[in-house]
Parts: sequence; structure tokens; C-alpha cells
Amino acid sequence: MLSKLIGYEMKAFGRILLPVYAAILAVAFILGIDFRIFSGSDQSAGSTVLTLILGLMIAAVFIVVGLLSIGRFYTNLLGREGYLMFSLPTSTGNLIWAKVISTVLWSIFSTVVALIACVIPVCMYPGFWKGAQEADFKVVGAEVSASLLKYAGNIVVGVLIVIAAVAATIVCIYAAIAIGHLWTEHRILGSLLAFIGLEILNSIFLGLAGTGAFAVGSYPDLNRAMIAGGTEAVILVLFAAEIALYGVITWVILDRKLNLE
Amino acid sequence: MIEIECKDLVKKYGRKTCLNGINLSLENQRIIGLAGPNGSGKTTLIKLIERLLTPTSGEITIHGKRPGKETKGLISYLPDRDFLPDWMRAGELLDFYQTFYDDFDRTKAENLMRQLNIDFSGKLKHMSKGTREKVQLVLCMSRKAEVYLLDEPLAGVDPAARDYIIHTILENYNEDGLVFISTHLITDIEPILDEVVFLKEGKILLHRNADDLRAETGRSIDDYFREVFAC
Amino acid sequence: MRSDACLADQRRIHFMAWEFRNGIPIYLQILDEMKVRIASGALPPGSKIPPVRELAANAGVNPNTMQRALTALEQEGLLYARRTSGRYVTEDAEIMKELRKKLSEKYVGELFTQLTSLGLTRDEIIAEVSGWKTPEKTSQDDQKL
Repeated sequence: MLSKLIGYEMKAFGRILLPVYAAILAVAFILGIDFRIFSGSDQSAGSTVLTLILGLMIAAVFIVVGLLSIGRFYTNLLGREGYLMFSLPTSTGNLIWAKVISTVLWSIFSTVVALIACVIPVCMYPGFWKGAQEADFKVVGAEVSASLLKYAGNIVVGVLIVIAAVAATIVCIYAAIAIGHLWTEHRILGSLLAFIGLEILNSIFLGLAGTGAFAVGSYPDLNRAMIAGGTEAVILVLFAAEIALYGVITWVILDRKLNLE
Repeated sequence: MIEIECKDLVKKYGRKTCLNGINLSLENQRIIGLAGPNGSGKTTLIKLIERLLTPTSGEITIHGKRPGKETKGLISYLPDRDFLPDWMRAGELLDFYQTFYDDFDRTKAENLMRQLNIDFSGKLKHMSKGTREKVQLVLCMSRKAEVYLLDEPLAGVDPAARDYIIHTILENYNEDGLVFISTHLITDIEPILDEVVFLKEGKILLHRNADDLRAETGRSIDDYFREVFAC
Repeated sequence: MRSDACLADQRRIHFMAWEFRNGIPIYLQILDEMKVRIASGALPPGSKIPPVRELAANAGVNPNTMQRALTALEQEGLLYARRTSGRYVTEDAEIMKELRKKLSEKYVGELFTQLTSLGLTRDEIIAEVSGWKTPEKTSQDDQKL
């Protein structure tokens, strides 16, 4: 059932995001063509404008993912579509998870598309291939591969941290919306106030974690474990705790205190 | 066999008591009407059965189980409002119901939609309100469910559509199951009911066989309803 | 009961539920309507009637109620059931004759009751009946149809 829900969420996000991706890639391609036509010293103002537009679009797509995720949570679960979704033979948890996972996945896809959008104009830049050939691909390739392998662990952990950050942020927002839902007359105001409250909670949480880390630092063995690369683990644990806490808040409200209009 | 059972069911919203101790047993192979004026708690009771609300106290069981994801699979619920995403097409809705409900009969739904001349590639938002309501009804009645919960299916609907709705319910419901219809418009619904439940200010006023009630009061259920609930 | 239009074209007026009167059990009203349809030939002798569920859906009544009416019709010999293939209208000429006789007695009785309540004597009533002609269709009636 969860996979079916994820499939539905992915499609719902996709019908908005895929056209946006297409537009970004199109602009990237146009920029690349612009580079080809106006290469060298007489770089037109056009390429600057296009580059700016491309940059804005790439930034915008992440905002769109965020807004879509929030919007879908609000309309699909707490709006009239809630009558459809909460009548499905599935648990409340699955309904929430499907949206979190879909948000994370589309964030990853957006990152990939953003990277491709950067790579395309660069590849199409006339001097690029010549410069690349001069730099001798084999050597460069070997060096890049070596670096990747050496820091593979770090890269994986880094990606995990980013994923956890996205998930934690979105679950926190969901929790705020859910808390706001409880205030029947002023749901949106309630959500905003709840969000502010939760962010304050987050800061306190981080502060405490920082103090804890400091305290831990005074124990030599723990200290060594932390330095050995435990910092990332601590960050992941903090994010996991955030996801768990806000996930539970959201779940309890949606499962026990639902009140659709 | 008892399909739905409520024991001392209470639902409060803050200080306001909406359902004040409901005791009800509904058996299968029946079409049962839930009649009461607006605000009597009909929709609340139905939402509690569907677990869109949780009780303040008391118990509900459906098919012997507490309301939850299993009972939702047994119940085909038709809310009293638009509830489908209006960006979806008729064909996509068929896919949706087929994906999520094992008891969904897609062929039946397609035939019913064809009868209504519904374009499968058309989006809901481009359909008239009446057609959208019929689509919702078709999807609901194309499931072979244990319980059909219909919340005011006839409200705000023109007389021709009312006939269509009643016809569709009778033609397609699972005869082994229970159809529980809430309404404040008794006349059109009365002839199809096996039993009727009157709900007044959050309490069950009566639960009788329809024919018996007519025989005892010497009038139609509609007339008796007006008498009982006169302002 | 609003049934004239239904008699005319059963297939076109698919979803027009029958209207029922207060005070008389619904299954009895269904029984009367079915008898009229059989007597008038709208349900021809020997023809197969639709399954209970379809009849109930078309009439807008509970299938149990329709079943009760159909069982009563079977008991009166107006319908007969063939085990696997469903219910059929009787072809027995005697039964049909008896049905028409009972129905016309009923209508005549109603006529007499109504006209008597208007103060007519039996002879006056018979005179009215003898002198009665089918009214000519006026242009107004055409527009109504």
C-alpha cells in the first residue's frame, strides 16, 4: 500500500515538476547554443541574462518542490481530498510517509536536473573540449576517480545528511500544519504560529545538542569517537530524532484529532 | 449478521455534545435510512464509522472490528461533498480506485460512466457539478463492499438525477451487505428502505422496520418524520 | 400512480421511479401496478419479466418489497417461475380473463363510489356511462404531449 501511495504522490508532483524540468533544460540548451554562437571576447549580454535566468530557475525549482510538498499536504490530506485519502484502506502513517518520501525523491531529481543544467552549457562552450583534450582526459579521469574513491564514504554520508535535512525540514512543516489544523477557526494562522514555535524548539534542541557535545568532549574516549568521524553520525542522529518527533506529532494529530470540514 | 454496532457512542466538540450515547445495531442484507434534521448528528455518526473522526467515548465495531484501515477496505463511503481531486481525469480516477480497492469492479464503473457519456480523458474540473456527483456515486457503487455509507446522496440534486441515483444504488449494491443512507429528504428514499433510524439531537429516537413503522403510524415515514421533527 | 408514461415506453423512461401513495403498503401498490401492466398487455402473456433487482431499481423500491409483490403475483397465478430462467407472465387465458374482470369491477366500483358521492342516482350514472364519448383531441392536448 505504501508503494502505491508513493506512486500516486510521485505522479502528482511530476505533473508540475516535469514541465519545469523541461523548461530548465531547454534554457540550459539555449544558453549552450548562445555560447556557441557568441564565443570568445564578444560575449553578448544575452549570455549573461540567460545565465542569470538559468540560475534563478534552478533556485526556483527547489522552492517549487517545497511549495508543492506543503501544498499537497494541505490540500490532499486536510482539504476536501482528505475524504478520499483517509478513506483508503491504509494507515495514517503511510499517508504521511508517502509525502515525505516523495518530497525527498523529487528533491534528489531536482538536484540531478540542476547539475545537468549546469553541465550542458559548459559542454557546449566551444573552448571546453579543446581545453579538455589538452588537459589529457586520462590523467584527469584517473585523478577524479581516485578522489571519488577516497572520499566515497564522506560523499555518501554527505548525501544522507542532505536527505535527512530535507526530510526533517518537511516533517517539521507538516507537524506545524497539523498543529494549526487543531485551531479550527484560524487554521493557517495556527500553522504559522506552530511553525515559529517548532523552529524555536529546533534551536533549543540544537543548543542542547551543542552543549551535550561539549560535555561529551570532556570524556577522552567519546571525544576520540566523535573526532573519528562521529560528528556526521551525531548530525544524522539529531535529524533522525527531529524526524521521529515531528513525525509522531503529525501522526497523532492526523490519526486521532482529524476534523475535516 | 451485525455489520455495524455502536455502544454508548459519544462525540463532543469542546463543550458541545454532538452525539449523546448512541446504541445501534445494523445488520447486513438491508437498506437502512438514517433520518434526522440538519445538525442532528447524522454526518458525525457516519464519519465516526468511517474513522474520519474518533469517539469521545463509547465503541464502534464494523464487521466485529474497530474502525481502522481494515474496516476502511470493507466500507464504500460517499461523502456529502466534492471530494475528488479535480485535476484528475475520469480514466485516472478509475485507475486510482482499481489500485487502492481490491473490491473495485472497473468494468462496471466504465459501463456506468459510458451510460452517462463521460469522456474518460476529461478532467473533473471541466465537468458540470451534476456529472461530478454522478462520477463520485459511480465509483462508490462499483465497489463490492460490505457496507455502503452514503451521506445525503440526494441533497441538492435535481429530480431526474435523484431517480438516477436511486436506480444506480439499487442496481449495483452488494445485496449481501448493508447500505446505510443518511438523508433529510425522506420521500424519494422511503420506498427503498428496509429499516429506518430517526436521529434527534444526538440520540436515537427510533429504529424500526419501514413497513412496520408505516403500519403502526398509519402514514408514510415522510409524514411521520415531519410530525416528529416539527419545529 | 404515475404509470402512463412508463407503460408507453419502458426502455426510454428507464430511471423514472414510481410514485407511491401514503397509507397503502408499497408492495400492494406494486402488485396493483403489475396487474394493470399484465392486463393491458404492456407485459405480454408468456413474456419474461426482468429480474427482481432490475424491476426494483426501475421502480425505485427495495428489492425485498418487489420480491414480496412478485411472490404474491405468483400465488395468484399471474406469474409463473421456471426454475433457472426466471419469471414469466402467464399465458392462461382463463386467468387473464379473470384478472380483467376483477380490474374492471374495481374501476366500475370506484366510478360508482365517486359519482354517488356527487349525488347521482344509479340510473343517472348508467345514463352518463351510456352517453359517454371519447373526447376529441384538441390542439391544446397535442401541445401537452
